[in-house]
Amino acid sequence: MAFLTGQIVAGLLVGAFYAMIALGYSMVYGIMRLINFAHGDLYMVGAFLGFSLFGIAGASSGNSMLMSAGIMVLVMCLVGLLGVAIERVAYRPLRRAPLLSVMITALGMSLILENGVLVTPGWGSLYLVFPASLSSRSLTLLGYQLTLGQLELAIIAVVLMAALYLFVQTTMTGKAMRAIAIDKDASALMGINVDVVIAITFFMGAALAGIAGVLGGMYYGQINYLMGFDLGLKAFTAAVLGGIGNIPGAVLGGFLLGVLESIGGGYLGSEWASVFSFSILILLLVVRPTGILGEKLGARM
Amino acid sequence: MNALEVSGLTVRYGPVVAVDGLSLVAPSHSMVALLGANGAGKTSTLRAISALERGRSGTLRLYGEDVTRLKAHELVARGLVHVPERRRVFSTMTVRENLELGGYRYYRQSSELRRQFEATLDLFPRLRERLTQTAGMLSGGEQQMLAIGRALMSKPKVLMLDEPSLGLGPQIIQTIYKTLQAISAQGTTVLLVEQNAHLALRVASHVYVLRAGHLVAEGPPSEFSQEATLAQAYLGSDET
Ligand SMILES: Nc1ncnc2c1ncn2[C@@H]1O[C@H](COP(=O)(O)OP(=O)(O)OP(=O)(O)O)[C@@H](O)[C@H]1O
Ligand SMILES: [Mg+2]
Repeated sequence: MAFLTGQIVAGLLVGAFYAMIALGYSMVYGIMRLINFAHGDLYMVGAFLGFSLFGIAGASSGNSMLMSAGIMVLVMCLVGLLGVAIERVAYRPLRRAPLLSVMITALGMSLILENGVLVTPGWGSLYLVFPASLSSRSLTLLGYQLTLGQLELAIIAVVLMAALYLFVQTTMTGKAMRAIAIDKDASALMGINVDVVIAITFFMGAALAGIAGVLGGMYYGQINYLMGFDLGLKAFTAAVLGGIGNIPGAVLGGFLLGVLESIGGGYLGSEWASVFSFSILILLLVVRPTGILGEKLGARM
Repeated sequence: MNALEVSGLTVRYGPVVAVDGLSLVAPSHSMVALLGANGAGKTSTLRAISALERGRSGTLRLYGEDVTRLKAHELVARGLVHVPERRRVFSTMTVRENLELGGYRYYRQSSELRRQFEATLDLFPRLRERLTQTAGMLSGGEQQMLAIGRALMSKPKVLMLDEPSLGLGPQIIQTIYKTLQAISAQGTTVLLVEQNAHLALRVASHVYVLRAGHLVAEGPPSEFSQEATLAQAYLGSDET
C-alpha cells in the first residue's frame, strides 16, 4: 500500500509537468486546430535558458528563492515571446493552408529549435548538468516521504494552472480566446482582434512550457536538447486523454497520465513507463477519441 | 450623407466570381434591403464589406471616409457591425458572455458596457431571463435575438443583417422585424439582406436586387410591389 501511495505521489509530480505542457498544446489546438509539434521543444528551450541564467547568477546552492523566482519569470517571458515569434513567422501565414502543410511546418519548427540549441555555443553538448536544484529538505506528507522542492514544484504548477484557468474563464481576453476557438469570423465581427488574441494564447502556452522547462531542469538535474521530444509526446497524450482543446481536460489528463505511468512503471519496471503511456494513447484513440472531458477531435486532425 | 458606400465590389472564390462590380449606397438613417435568390451573392457581399473575404476588390466608404483597407475588427470599432447568416452565436458560452463579447470594444469602459447591456436587454426582454444559459440551448428565434443584441452591444452606426428571418416562424419574424424598425427609428442605418422579399419590401426605404452576382434592379419598394416585377428581377426576363 505504501508502495502504491508512493507511486501515486511521484506520478502526480511528473503529471504536473505533463499538465503544464499539455495546457499549451490544448490551448493552441483549441484556438487554431493546430497540433504544435514544436511545443515540447519550448519546454526544452526554457530549460536551457534557465541553465544559462542560473549559471550567470551562480546559484548552485539554490538557496535564494527570490532569484530562482526571478529567473523563472524571466524565462517565462522569453519563451513566451519565442512562442509568439513562432506563431508569427511559421503559423500565421498558413492559417488558411491545408492541414498537412501546417503539420510539416510544425515538425520543421521542432527540428529548428532542437538543432538551434545544439549549435548554440555553451549549449551544444549531449548532456548538461543543471546548475540549480530543488530543495532536498525532506518532509512527510500523508505518510509519504518527499522533498520540499517536490512540494514547491507541485504548488507552482497548480497555482499557475489555476491562474490560467481563471484568466480564460473570467477576463475579457479569455472570453475572446474561447470565442475564437468556437468561431473565428464571428469573433472578428465582435470587434476582437483575432491575431492579437491568438498571439496572447501562444504567449501563455509557451510561457507555461518555459517555466516547466526550468522546473524540469531543477527536478531531473540534467538537460539535453532532445528532452522536449519525449515530454512533448507525453503531454500530447495527456491533452488527448483529457480531451484536447479543453483546459481542465489537459490538466486532468496530465495528472492521470503521470499517475498511470508511475503505477505501471512501478510494477513493470520504469523502462516500461513510456510504452505504457503510448499504449494508453493508442487505446484511447480507438475507444474514446474525444478524451475524458470530450470535445470532438476536429475533422482537421 | 451616405453612411455606407460600396463601389465596384467584386468577390472571387478561386475561379468563381460570386459578386461582380456591385455598387450600392445606404444613406444615413435609411433602411436599405439587398434581395436576391439562393446563391445570388448576398452573403458574399456582406462578408466582403466586413473584410472577412480575401478575394475582393472595390472600395468601401463609411461616412465618406475610405475604409477599404481596414480589418474586420477595426470596422466594428468604426461602427459598422454585421449580424452574420445563421446567427453564429457562441453556442457553448452563456447568453451573458455572448453579449459581453458583442461589447468587446467597450471592455475597458465598464459603465458604457453596462449601459449598452441594459439597453439591449430592454429591447430583448426574453434574453434577460436566459442570461446564464448557454446560447446553444436557446430557440432559433432567441438565438437570432441574441445575435442582433450582441451586435447592438457595440453601438453600431451601420447595422448589416444577413437573413434575420431564416428558419424562423412567422410570429417571431414579426417580433424581430418590429425590433429592427425600432432600431432604425433610433437612427441606426440598416442594410438588410433577405431572400424573403415580401418582408423586406415592407420595411425598406430602398431596394437592391442581386442576381448571379450582378445588380439587376434597384428602386423604392413601391416599384417592386407587383408580384411580376419582383419575379422578373429575381429570376430574369430571359427565361423560356
Ligand atoms: N467559400 C466559398 N467558396 C466557394 N464558393 C462560394 C463560397 N461562398 C459562396 N460561394 C459561391 O458564391 C455564390 C454566392 O454565394 P452567397 O452565399 O453569397 O449567396 P447568397 O445570396 O447569400 O445565397 P443564400 O440566399 O443561399 O444565402 C454561390 O454560387 C456560392 O456557391
Ligand atoms: Mg446567404
